[in-house]
Amino acid sequence: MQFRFLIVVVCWLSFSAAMFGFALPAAAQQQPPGAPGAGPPVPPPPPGPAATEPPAVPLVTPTPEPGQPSASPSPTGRRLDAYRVTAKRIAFYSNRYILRADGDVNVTLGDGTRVVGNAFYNDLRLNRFVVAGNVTIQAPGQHPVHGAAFAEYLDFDRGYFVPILSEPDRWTFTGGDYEHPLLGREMPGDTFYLPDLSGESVFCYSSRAVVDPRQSVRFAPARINFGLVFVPFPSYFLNYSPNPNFAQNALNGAFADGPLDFAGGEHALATAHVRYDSVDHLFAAYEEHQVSDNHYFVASINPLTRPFKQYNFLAYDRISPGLQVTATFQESAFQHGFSQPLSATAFLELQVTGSLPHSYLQLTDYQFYDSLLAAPSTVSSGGRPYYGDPTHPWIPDHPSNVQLAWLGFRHQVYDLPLTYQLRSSFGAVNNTDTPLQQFGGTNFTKEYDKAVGFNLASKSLTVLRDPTGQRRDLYFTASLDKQREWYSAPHHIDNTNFTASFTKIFDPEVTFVATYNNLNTGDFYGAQQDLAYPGNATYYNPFTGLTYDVSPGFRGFATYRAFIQQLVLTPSRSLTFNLTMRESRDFPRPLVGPLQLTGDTVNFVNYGNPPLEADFDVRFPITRVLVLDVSRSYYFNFGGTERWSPQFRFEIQK
Amino acid sequence: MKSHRILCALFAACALAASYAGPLGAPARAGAVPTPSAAAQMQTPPPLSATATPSPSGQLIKFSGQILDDRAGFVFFTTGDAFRLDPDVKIVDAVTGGPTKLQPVTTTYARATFDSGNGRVVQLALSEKKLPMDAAYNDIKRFAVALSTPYANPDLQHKEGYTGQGVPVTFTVEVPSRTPYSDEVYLATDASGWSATAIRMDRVDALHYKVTRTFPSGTRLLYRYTRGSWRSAENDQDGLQRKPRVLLVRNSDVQTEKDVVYSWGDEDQFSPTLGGSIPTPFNPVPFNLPPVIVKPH
Repeated sequence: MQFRFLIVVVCWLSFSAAMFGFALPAAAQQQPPGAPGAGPPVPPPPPGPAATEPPAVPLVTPTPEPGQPSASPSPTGRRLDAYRVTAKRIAFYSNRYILRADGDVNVTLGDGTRVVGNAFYNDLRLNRFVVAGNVTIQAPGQHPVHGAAFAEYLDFDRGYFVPILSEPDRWTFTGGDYEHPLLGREMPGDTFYLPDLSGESVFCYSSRAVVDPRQSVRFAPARINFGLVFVPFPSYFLNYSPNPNFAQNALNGAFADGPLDFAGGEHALATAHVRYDSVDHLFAAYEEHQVSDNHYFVASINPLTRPFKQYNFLAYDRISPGLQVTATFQESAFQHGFSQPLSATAFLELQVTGSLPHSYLQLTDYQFYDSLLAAPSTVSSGGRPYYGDPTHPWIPDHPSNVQLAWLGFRHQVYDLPLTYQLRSSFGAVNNTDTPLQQFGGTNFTKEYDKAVGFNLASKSLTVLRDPTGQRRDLYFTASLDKQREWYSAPHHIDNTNFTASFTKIFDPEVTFVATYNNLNTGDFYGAQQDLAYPGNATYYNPFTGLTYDVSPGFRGFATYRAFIQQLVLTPSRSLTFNLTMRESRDFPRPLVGPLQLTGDTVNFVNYGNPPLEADFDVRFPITRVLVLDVSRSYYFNFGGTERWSPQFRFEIQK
Repeated sequence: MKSHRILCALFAACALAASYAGPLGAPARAGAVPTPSAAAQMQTPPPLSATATPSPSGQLIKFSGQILDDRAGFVFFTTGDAFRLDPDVKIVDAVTGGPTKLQPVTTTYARATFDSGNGRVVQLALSEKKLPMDAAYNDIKRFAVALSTPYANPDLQHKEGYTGQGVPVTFTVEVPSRTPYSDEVYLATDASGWSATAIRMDRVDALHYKVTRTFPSGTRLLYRYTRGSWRSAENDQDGLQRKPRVLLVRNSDVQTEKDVVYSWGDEDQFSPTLGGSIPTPFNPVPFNLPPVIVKPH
């Protein structure tokens, strides 16, 4: 039931996004004009050497004298609306965020004013455009005005125009008032600057674009650059909103992802994805954003075209300046198409955060639904009910975990270079079907816990100062984190985490960091310690249900120590080398996990840290805006199987 | 994460291939161009003070720029100025000095030769590529033709102007002491579409990372710090999602931004290690939360 509801929600969202996106220009054009706004008072023009003969054809009313009311109110605000551009060819240069149009350029502003010309340049980030060459401006109900170039500064509500009357002139329109230009007013120096786009590659071609200033551009149709060929699409929606909530994503990882934003608006974005991974191979996915400055809702289906689907929902709402709610919901379903699923599990994380003086409260609720389906009628030979076939067993578990935490701000310890932070929590864990823990013959299906902890950290302390004053200093930092957590089952857990670090700057380009980390975890059962941890060479973890080979003598007290050395070389601002050596000493000793084959990729799932690990990383620019990041790790034959990390690491940064 | 990297690699390949895509060049326009004689084709462009070219009444001054339009006996440059063309204006190729198929149309680059005696343009040397600077704008500004008398623009007065010069901006951030040493710290900016891995920072010491990027002065940049995904983006000290930080690049030789990250979005203060990415055989917590489910793509 819940499952069908989710599908309905997703379908509705996609429909609404498409409708919203395509309805935007029409809605923008119906925007009523705003309050009238005349330009600033114009001083009488000083006498000058320039030609001052009157226009041969007085198409416009001269600017009124200061104090004289304008003949007609100007439609201020319309320039902030979406405007449409058509031309023989519109090109979008993604590296520069510039639109260029050539041939029969026709720009229709939000109030219906048309500007036609030979060429059009629009710097989306500067939010201004230029129409140049045989320009005609035709405002509704007014005579057309001809000229050489027109520039619109949308942020400042200024239009600059070079008209051709008996002779050229320079006019400035303010507030969208084309009837009362300011004649001869000085213009910014780069008003009609046309950016040099030689050497820049085109991301997409079109013949029609709708620009929503500071928000988006929709190209319809669009031919998108795929490197070797331009592929036609019905539309492409470019979102460049400054709102970071559009960047939230609800898709799981994939080896390759080709997103296509095809619809959207100021608060919405609909994206189709073509993705690839070694399990599902090539498949489609869908993602939908609904955002504002204070909220977002992101939904996705991934993959759309494979039986094992994940429905993801992310939500965030800033209810007030000091209160926010976030939610994450993921449903995993095995279903062919959108038929009755054979399995459906779900996970929900709901978090409410409220600000307090010098601290905050955080309520976190985790809900795990091992099956959202009703009990099936079929039962396997082992007595386990299932849908479809026994590979889809029905498990009715519904574990949950609720925690209420109080977390203090970071405070300085008197005038010392030390800070401290306090925290505490109270929570409850529940699972009625499968016990959380079995101990002393008792099944614990519900446990309460409470915890207190603190963190003490130093600031960067200068141990040895460079006498030459070139900041080749030696720094020291340290941090101690201590926590105790009590459970309603008869035990408590102590965690102590200590880190100390020395940093030596040999040169502005060479930095060396040496770090020691010690993490102690103790599970205290008091007099029943031997019962919980008998000290055998094998350890049965009651929580995972697995048995591990561990160090003899292990009685529930673990220590993880690591010594890390890191050398960072930055010979230039764009080139960085990073070499890291990590030596770990764990008790109980680390175990090599089973090899997991995901598609054609081998993954290692270890328990504990490999005793030795070396990481090498280099970054360098490959183009003006792209940086290639290559890294690799070596594990010194850990467990007799692990040498190199499974794959190289590449990252492209912009 | 692995898939993300492969995605990035594929994207890089596409981007590299895309860089070979030809620029969008305005098509060459054939037209009625005066055909000079063979001797004229061989003629070297006159020097600045030469007295060649149609009957100059004064000194010749050359100015290079880009054309907005050529109409009604005027040529318009991207300075916004209109200059009167001499009736016998010569249209030549800027490189060879000979005839050209280029027309003085929008986006064409041109070197205009002014007759300082009458302020008219007596020659236009055209090019599809940007031409080196000749005379300064102030030297030819007086030749511009405009009906109205220019006067000062109050919009442009009493405000700090931004020169647009490149300013190296160094971001230095102090991170929480619980930040894993192996994690990377990134700058996500509005200029890079809020990619959570837009700009990777370099470790300075156990608590500090830094990176230097050059921006034109006047740039207004919004940014947030992340550890590679939006789930791990920085939070405010009160645990609430942080609004983007704002940087305004000033006219200066260098600029430094020092920030503090108090907590990360994926930080569980009650977990012994942030992220808990390495499972161990010994896990005494009676409830194993699943790993982070939603990963960046």
